[in-house]
Amino acid sequence: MISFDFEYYRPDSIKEATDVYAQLHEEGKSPLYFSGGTEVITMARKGALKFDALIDLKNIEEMNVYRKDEDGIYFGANMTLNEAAEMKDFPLIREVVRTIGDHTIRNRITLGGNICGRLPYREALLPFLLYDAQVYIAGINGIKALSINEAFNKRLVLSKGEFVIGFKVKESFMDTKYLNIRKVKTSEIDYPLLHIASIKDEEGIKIAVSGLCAYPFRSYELDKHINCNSEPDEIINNVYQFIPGTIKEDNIASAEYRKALFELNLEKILEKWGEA
Amino acid sequence: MKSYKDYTQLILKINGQIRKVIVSPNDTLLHVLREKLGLTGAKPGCENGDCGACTVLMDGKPVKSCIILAVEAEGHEITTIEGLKDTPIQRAFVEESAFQCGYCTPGFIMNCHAMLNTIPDADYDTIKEWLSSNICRCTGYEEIKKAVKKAQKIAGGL
Repeated sequence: MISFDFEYYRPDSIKEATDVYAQLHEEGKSPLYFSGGTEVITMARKGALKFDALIDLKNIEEMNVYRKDEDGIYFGANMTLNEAAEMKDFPLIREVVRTIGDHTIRNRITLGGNICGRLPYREALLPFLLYDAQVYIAGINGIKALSINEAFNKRLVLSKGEFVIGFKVKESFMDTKYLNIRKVKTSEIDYPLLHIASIKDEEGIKIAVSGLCAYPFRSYELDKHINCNSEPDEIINNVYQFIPGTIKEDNIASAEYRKALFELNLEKILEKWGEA
Repeated sequence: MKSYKDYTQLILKINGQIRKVIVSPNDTLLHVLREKLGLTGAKPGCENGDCGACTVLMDGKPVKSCIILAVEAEGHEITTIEGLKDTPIQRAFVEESAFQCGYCTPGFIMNCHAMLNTIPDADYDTIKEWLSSNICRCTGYEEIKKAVKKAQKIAGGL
């Protein structure tokens, strides 16, 4: 049970959701959008998150679909991680989301919730960064589509009252080869010490990383650096100037350990793509 | 648009029965099941979505009832351990002594039951993936594994 009172709204459309958000905000309340709720309920129970109202987005049809459009494949933000894992079009997405949490919890965690959450890992984001997906954001002024790499800067940058309704990936990425490395300390069901997802297409090798810094990232500068024609040793020695944050240090692993793990696995990735 | 601002009567479908209950939006499903409906089979463990002791089925899928609000359960079919009667996995748990203190058992059984209904011929990796959602602090995993295998045979999945 959560130890404070709040109101609960379940809108049936995007407009109802943004309207009720605006109305609650005008009344001086602090509303919060909500979908799978795993993180919100846990944090609220611990007293780490407070709100006056939850706006549950699960009844919004556009957020619950997976469909093939002319310009790509659309993933509704309300798709649970298990639902996303069942979609076989993008094996990397399937592989990445299957490592988040445990199977039961993945029946509740949604793509949108994982990507917009407050935890530092947000691993579902990695393939969408690599595929330069479009993210669809709804707000009081309607829906806008942005490149996820533009919309993401340490977190998905949303204005007050906005929420993510879905993601679109170009079909051309379906056959793109990938490598996915996830390292944990003990149990498979654990937050990652390091998660590197990588693809190689006509532009070269691309990597997206979670666990190394306080937020997941993909850096164009880093991609450019690893695609220079230098020897792997040289690439790795100079890699940290292209990492967009300080290396995470916590009670699970020291920064030095994470750096060593990163260097080792970056080397593996460069080797494997070299062989390929 | 549905909204709940205070204590309200909620109609839930639990174990095939319509149950009316007064809830507040901040009540978790686990709390309502145990404290308001007397269905104490789902257990509070970590109340953090980690241990799986509170697992129930929502529309046939296993979910952790400690991290679901009761108001979210409206319109869905909820099954608790009290709703299972002499299923293959229950029989197999008894025959294989797949419990010690028993606290985690309802959660394991609900998860196993959902898995066997969804994938009757689940292989080792699938069983491991599904059952990694539950923790047994008595560490009786070997017997639980045997019970799942036996339930598959009883149900005709293998």
